[in-house]
Parts: sequence; structure tokens; C-alpha cells
Amino acid sequence: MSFLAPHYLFAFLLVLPLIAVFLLKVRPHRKFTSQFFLWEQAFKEKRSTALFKRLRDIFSLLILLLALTALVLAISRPRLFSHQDKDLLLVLDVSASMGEDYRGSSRLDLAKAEARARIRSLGMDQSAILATLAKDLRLVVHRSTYPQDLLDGLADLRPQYEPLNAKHLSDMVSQPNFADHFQMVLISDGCLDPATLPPACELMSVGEGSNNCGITAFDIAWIPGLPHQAEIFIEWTSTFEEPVELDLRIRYGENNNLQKILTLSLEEKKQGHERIPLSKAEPGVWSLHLNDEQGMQFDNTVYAVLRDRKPVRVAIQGGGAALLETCVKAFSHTEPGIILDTANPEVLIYPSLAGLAPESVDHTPTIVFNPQGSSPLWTATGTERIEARVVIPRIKDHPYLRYLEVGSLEMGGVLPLKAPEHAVVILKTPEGIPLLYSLQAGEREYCVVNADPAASELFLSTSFPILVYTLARHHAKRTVLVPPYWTPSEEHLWASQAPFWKTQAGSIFSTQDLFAQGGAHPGLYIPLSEAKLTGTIPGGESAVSFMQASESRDIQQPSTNFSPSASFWSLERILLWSGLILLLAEAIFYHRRWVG
Amino acid sequence: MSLTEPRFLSCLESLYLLARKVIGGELAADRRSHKRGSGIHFADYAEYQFGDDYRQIDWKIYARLETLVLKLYELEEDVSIHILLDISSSMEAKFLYARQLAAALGYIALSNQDRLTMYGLADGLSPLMETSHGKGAIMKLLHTLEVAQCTGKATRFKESVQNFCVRHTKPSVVVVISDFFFPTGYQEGLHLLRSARNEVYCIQVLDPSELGCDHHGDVEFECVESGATKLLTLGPEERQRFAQIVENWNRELASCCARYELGFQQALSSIPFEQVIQHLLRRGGLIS
Repeated sequence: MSFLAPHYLFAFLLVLPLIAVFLLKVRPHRKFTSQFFLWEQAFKEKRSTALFKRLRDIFSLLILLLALTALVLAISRPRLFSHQDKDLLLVLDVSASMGEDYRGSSRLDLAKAEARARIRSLGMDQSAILATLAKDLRLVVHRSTYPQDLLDGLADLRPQYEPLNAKHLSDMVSQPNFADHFQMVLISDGCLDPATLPPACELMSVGEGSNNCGITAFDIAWIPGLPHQAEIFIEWTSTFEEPVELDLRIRYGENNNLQKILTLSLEEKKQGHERIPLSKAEPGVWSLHLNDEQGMQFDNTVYAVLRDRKPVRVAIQGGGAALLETCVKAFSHTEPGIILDTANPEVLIYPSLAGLAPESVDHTPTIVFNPQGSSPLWTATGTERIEARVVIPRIKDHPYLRYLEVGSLEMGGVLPLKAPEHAVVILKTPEGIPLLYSLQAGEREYCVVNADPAASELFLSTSFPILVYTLARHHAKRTVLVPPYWTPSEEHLWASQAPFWKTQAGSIFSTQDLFAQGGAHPGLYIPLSEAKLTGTIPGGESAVSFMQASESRDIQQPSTNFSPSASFWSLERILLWSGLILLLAEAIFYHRRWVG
Repeated sequence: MSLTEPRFLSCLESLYLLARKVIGGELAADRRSHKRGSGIHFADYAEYQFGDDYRQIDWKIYARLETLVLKLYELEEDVSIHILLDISSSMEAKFLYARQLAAALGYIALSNQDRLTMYGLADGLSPLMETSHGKGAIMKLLHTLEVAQCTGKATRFKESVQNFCVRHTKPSVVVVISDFFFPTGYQEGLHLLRSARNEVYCIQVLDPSELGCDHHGDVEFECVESGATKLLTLGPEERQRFAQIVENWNRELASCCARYELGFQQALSSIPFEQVIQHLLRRGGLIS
């Protein structure tokens, strides 16, 4: 047996004043009485306890000495063994499934109760760290030996609409010497893949698994070429032991007008998907509600936005437009598409151009194929056109190249030229001749394709219409496809309204900021005004949905052999409580002797 | 209040006047006796016998009937009143009150031309005041009570009564003023007094604190007479039990007095002694 604070043993010197005070204290009051014989008569029946009465002063002193001994030993922090308790890393699962009700309280409440018990059972010199785990591992309370700090940290925890990512635990455990100093405990409802848990992490399960059906994926899109026809795609999961049939309600608009009721047949313990055609679809917010009252609720309702059909309007200027018009028409029935519109174009395409585009259509982004002669947009360095068999991408991830297979691209009719210094060259020949570049001239954006579509049979390549489609949508600022819904807590990278290559980066903001009106909960949201954002959000209404198959599979994982390294009833605590109880007993005893 | 103070004397005089009023003015120096003697109240006639006092012959009867007849008169004799005052140490707390009671009764007796004797009860019978008669002895009575002190280690009631009965064989009025907390009991003593054909009146003087117990916790009791000690832990149960024992003791005393046809009065020292005396007078028996 050893002591962590042996200097406190000097407190045993308190024995002397204790005895002195006791002897003064136990002197009883002396009363003279003329009825002495009557008192003797009253206590005649209690003579059997006379021996105890004679010894009770000794007992009282003995109890006080024992209490003093226990308290002094407790503050001296005795240790029976020399081993040191590991510190505790307490991780609470705050993923979406922890917000579900379980017998009147949420699973997170149960987890908090377990965490409180663990915190209260900490050894007096044992510290603990409190963290939460959902999509990320978040530190709530730093390493602390004060249980109240940890308990305060617990009080503010709320469930998040996030999936559980146990990989962070593996990263934590893999840190050097972690296992030597920490005992990691994850308190969770067990909606996770146990294989993802690191061996050093002990799982403490709360609540019980339940049968659940939920929507794990949802998309809605127009059917290309068919007006007012759209299709809904959903994925579902079921943990029921038997097949079940549930109603699926399809609603539209901000008022949630019921559009359709379907009966979904969900096979037992499986995931499946369903396609649901909508014959008279309108752009706007659509929601699905799966009528599963038994299981978890967060995955029963999902939202998505069906964007308005807005094909990019393209006008082709100049002669030799047949090849390009064919390309545009080929994409007029796609979603999203491009269409020919010479009256109100968003993008101009010149099959061939010498000099600048006419001023009458100023500010309209312009795509120029087959450059001729000299121009402010290029400087010809030769007259003999060449064929580029090898094309080298200068910016590999540029949106121009999103759908192109650059390795198989061959371009003919290439004019030896030099691009202006401020131009952004995306493709070039091995000799350095720019093949595809963009630049700003005045108020207008230009994209120059240094190739003749008719040469080298480029027009026969699948890359040619794709290139036209990509360039047209990019310059119409329709490159980014706005997702039908946002996921809570997900961060998105957006390009600003200006051409993104002229900005350092897009604006980074989270859905928490984006959907400030409604927080990060699933539902329908109206985006903030553009003025408040540094970027733009194409489209109108937006929706937030939370769908995670891992959270919907409510299958309880059994707890691992969780064994607290420290017990609440440590030796010093036992001594402390013993001392207090002895003092209390003596006080009661003494109280009886004073007040009867 | 001192027993010789004018205020106290005035109080005693008031009690005496009250006594006269209550008993109808028949207190003046006479207690009629069944014995025939030389009083002034005619009682009967008797035939003259040789040796009779011829001064008692009714000559008018002789003149008419020529028969010697004696006129008999009621014998007027003084009543002897003995006050036995407990002067043991147990009376310390209520000794003044007991002396005030004794003084009041003695004042009325002396004023009534009765013969008064006062004894102290303690380890034995100790005379406090020899037999006195008339109002002239009142100051002597009060001075005696004024200087009286509690003595003795125990109250030997039975032995004291035996001693008293030996001294006074003639039946008389005996007033016992005590708390009657005698460890050896009071029954035998009272029985002796009763057997000696005395008219006995018991006045139990108690301090209100003696009816129960206000102490709590550890208390070391010491007997005021014997000096014996006892360490007790008093709680509600113990206090209740003690109060019950005291109540039983007092009830038994009253019952014993009733059984022996003795007068009994309990006097708490919290009640003014005048009220006790007035109560005694109004209830009758002791004075008349």
C-alpha cells in the first residue's frame, strides 16, 4: 500500500485535540433532584443496558477516532496497487438515429445517462475527455479531472442530422501511445457497422434496435423530351423480419398538396429501389412520406426540388453553321439541354470568325471556332493550318473538359497562333499552339476553339457535340447542376457569378449558413437573398433532406466487454464515505445524548 | 418575601379575618368540648354526689324540690394544633412557600387562641417552636419560621411520626406540610397519626418542575438528600415515563389520604399561598 499524498498523514496529530475536545464535550449536565428515587424507579427496567451506558463514551470516542483515521487516509490518497488508471475518452454518438425516441426519452438521453454514470465513477485522479461523433469527431470538453466540467458539457449535446463516421475513431486510436493512456468508450445506439470500430474502442450500446423502414435515396428529374413528365427515384431499406407494405405519399409545393399515394412492398431485411413516373409534374419542391409509424421517423420524410426546365439558348452566327446547328439540336431534348434561339441568345457561336464579334450583340458570351487571320483575340504566327494529333490539357480539371476524353481528341485545321497574355489556355499542341482558350475582351467573354470542325473529320467525333454542349452551358453559367436537395451539415463549393477562373476560389459556406432560416433540419427552405452570399445559387427553392442508409438500419449491436478501469468505489472514496458515515453515526449518537 | 415583613403580616391578618367570616364568628377562644367542665354554657343537670363541688349546686332547684342537683356546664378547652413542617433538603426549592403556608396556618391558630406546636421533619423530629398560645406568640412563630433552614440527609417520616406520637398522646390537629417524596413511603407515618386519633391534614407542596422533567440528553442526577448520583440519557420516552411515575405517586398519596379520611391539599409553589389557604378555609374542616 502506498500513498499519493503521504504528507497528509500528519493530520493524525488531530487525534490529540480530538480527544481533548471529546473529553470536554462528553461531560454531562449535573442536576439536583428531590425525586431521585423516582428516577431510579423510572429506569429500573433499563438496567440491562447499563453496561452499554458505561461503555458508550468509549464507543463514541472510538467512532470519532475511526472517522478521523478514515478521513486522514482518504486525503492521503492510498493505493493498494501501483497501477495507474487510464484516462477515459468518452465518445457519444450524436448521429441522426440518436435523436429517435426510446420509451419516452431519446436515445441520446440514455447515452447521456450512461456517460454521467461513467463520469461519476472516475477515479479521483483520473481525467476524461468528452467528445461527440457523427460525421466528424468533435471535442466537447478537453481533458479534465473535474467531473462537473464533463457533466456540464454533456448537458448541451443535441442529436445532429449527420451519419456516423466511425473512421475518425480509428484515426484517433492509431495515434502513438493512445492505447497506453486512454480507454476509449463509444456510447451509441449501435446503428453502425461494428467492423468499422477499432479494436481498442469499447462500444456501450443504449436503447434497443427496432424494425424500421426508411428512405435512403431520393431524386426527381424531368424525362428528356417529354413535356411535364418527370420521374421519381427512391431507395428504401427495411429491417423488418417479414415483408411489409407501407403507404408512400407524394406531395408537391410549399403547401404539401397530396399528389399521389402508392403502396410500397418492402422485402424483409433488404434494400430496394422504386421508380415512380409523374405524368403532370411541375417544377418545385416535392416531398415523399413513408408511413412507417413503428420505426425511426427522421427517414420517413424527404424533400427534393424539381428544377425548372431552362435550356441554354444558343445562336449560331455566320456561315457554315450546319454542323453546329446539328449539335445544338442533338441536345435540345436532353436534360439539361441547349436550344437554338437567335432572337434572345445566351451564348453566341461563330463557326468561323476573323476579328471581333459585332458590337450589336455585345456582352453575350461568344464561342469562336476556326479563327481566321489576325484579331485582338489571337495573333497568327503562320498561315498554314496543321493537324493536332496529340492534344495536351494545360488545366486538367477545367469545366471545359468535364465530359471530354482528351486523350482521343484530334483536332484539324489548327491555325498557328499566339493567344493574348491574359488568356487562359486549356488545351494546346505539343508545340505550344493554343487549341482551346478563354479570355475576356471588353465586356464580353470569349472562348476560342482553334480548330476547323470540318477538318480531320472532327465533326464526326463524339467529342465535338460534347464540346459544343459543354462550352455553351459553361458560358451560360449552367455548368453546376444544382442538386435536388441539400444534406444537413454538408459544405459546398460554389463558383461566383464571375467566370470562376478569374476568381481565386468560389465561396465556401455550409448549409447551416445557407439555410439559416430553418437551421439544418430536413424540410423546405427558401434561399437567402443573393446579396448575402458571395456566390450565387442557381434555381429557386431549395430543400434539405437527410438520407443515410447506415442510420436507417436500426440494428442493435451488442456492447463489447466494457469494463471501467476505475470504479466509483475506489479505496479513497470508500474511506471518505466511511469517515463521513462514522461522523454521522457519532453525531446521531451524540445528538441523542444532548437532546435525548 | 420575608415572613416578618409588614406586608406579609397584613396578608396573614386578611386570611384570619376571612377565616372568621367563613366560620361565622364562632372562633373566639372557644372550641366546645363534649366534656363537662367549668364553662359558661349550660349543658345538663346531675344529681349531687358526695364530694362534688357544692358551688355547682342549683339552689333554686333545691328550694323548690329539696333535692340537691348540680348544674353542669360545657367544658371549654383549647385545641392543640401541631404543624409538622418538612425541613429536609428536598424542600430546598419550595421551602419559603412551605414556611409561608405554615405561617398562615399558625397565625390563624394563634389568633384563634389555639395551642400551636411546630416541629420540623428531617432525619428525625426536631422541635421548631414549643407549644404556644394566643396572639402574643405570633411574632415568635414568624421569627422561628424565618430562621428555619433545611437540614438533614433524608426524611424519616415514619420515625418522626412515631416520636411525635410518643410526645403527644392527646388527640390533636396535625398538619403535615411536605412534598411527601419519601423514598421509604408515607403510608405508615400517616397510619400512625390516624391511629392516634389525630385530625390529620396533609398539604403536599410541589414545585411545578417536579411534576415532570424538562431535561434532555445526558443528565447526571444527584439526590439533594443522599448525594447519590445517576447518569441518565433522557429522551421523550423517558420524560414521559417519569411524568407518569410522578403522577402515580401523587395520585396514590391523595388516595391514601382519602382512605384514612385525612385532609389533603396539593399546593403548587407557582400558586400564591393565600389562594391555597383560602381554598382550605372555604372547603372547611381544617380551621373550623
